[in-house]
Amino acid sequence: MTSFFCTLWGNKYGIEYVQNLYNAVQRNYDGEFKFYCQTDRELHIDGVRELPFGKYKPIMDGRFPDKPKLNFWEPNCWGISGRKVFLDLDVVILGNLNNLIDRYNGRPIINKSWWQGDTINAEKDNHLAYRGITNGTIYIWEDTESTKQMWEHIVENSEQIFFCCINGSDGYFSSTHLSRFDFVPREMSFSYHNEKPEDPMSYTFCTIDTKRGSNAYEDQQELHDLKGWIKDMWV
Amino acid sequence: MINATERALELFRKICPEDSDEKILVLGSIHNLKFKFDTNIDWFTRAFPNKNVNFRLNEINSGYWNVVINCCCEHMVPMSQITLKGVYVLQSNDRYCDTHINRMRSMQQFREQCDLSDIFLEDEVSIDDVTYYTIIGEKW
Repeated sequence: MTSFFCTLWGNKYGIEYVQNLYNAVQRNYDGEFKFYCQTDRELHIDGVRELPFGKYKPIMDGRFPDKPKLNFWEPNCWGISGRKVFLDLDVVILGNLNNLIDRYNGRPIINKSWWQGDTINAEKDNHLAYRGITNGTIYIWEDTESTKQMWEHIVENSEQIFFCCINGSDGYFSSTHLSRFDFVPREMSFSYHNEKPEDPMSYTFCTIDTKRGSNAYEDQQELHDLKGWIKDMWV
Repeated sequence: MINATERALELFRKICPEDSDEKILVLGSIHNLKFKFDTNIDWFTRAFPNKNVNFRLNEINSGYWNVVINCCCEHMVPMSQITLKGVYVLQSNDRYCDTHINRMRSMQQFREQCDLSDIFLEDEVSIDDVTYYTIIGEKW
């Protein structure tokens, strides 16, 4: 049994994001699964089980905006064990998920910010700036000793982690736990706003991942405003 | 950067001459300046990611040092989280860059963040269009 997770808080995304993500998993995953959403809302979506926020709540204080995403790393979170898959709400699934999820081989899998190119591989200051080499649009994992150590580090140092890793969980994982992860293969994911692959449907998923707070990204539209093939896939 | 660190160390030694009872902890870097200390907990490398000084506060706060020198406060969590009793030599600056996760905008802001019990000296100096704030004091 595979457990799929997402999380919903604030007003950036609506309940339709959860519904469409659930629909996409149903279409693209072969096998028994349960689907959960960590949220403080009542979703009223058949097949989606609501989970209360774990240890870290969605407190917006200007640093580390995605604190609740850390909760998934708590061993046996919400009493759930086995193979687990977390997906960001702004992920559009394009192909069969089993090919990706079945790659799990004892080490957690996370996406990578491939589209950042050479910058992301420049080691000199990445860790001091807590830049995100990882891209937490997807996690695939099972509870292991390694993930338990990661959770223990989070709990012991959460105050400092939230202060230093200004941009959030990817900065933390990238600076402190990078060697624990395997990456989603390059050919399986792309960034909708940063890349224009010739054959998007050959990928397993893409991430919309709009940026906020910068004029440089003002042309980036949210998923619900997009048109064309991407919108056709988001049902 | 090195000039600012050098200035902080010189100011420290003007107030606190060398003492055989000193047990000096240097957090971050003093850029290979000639200065005697007991322990340096520097930043970390990708080879040792868990060595991030910001995630070793329990270890630091249970240590034996009675002098804490940190001329890189702009890279660190607030020094109020270091609870060792003793003399502190702390420096930050207002320069914006990705790695300066805790840059200061004024001496008052820095003073409040350091939360020292007593302040011996405050120094504010501009070097290459960057303002450096140095505070030397004590926690008890």
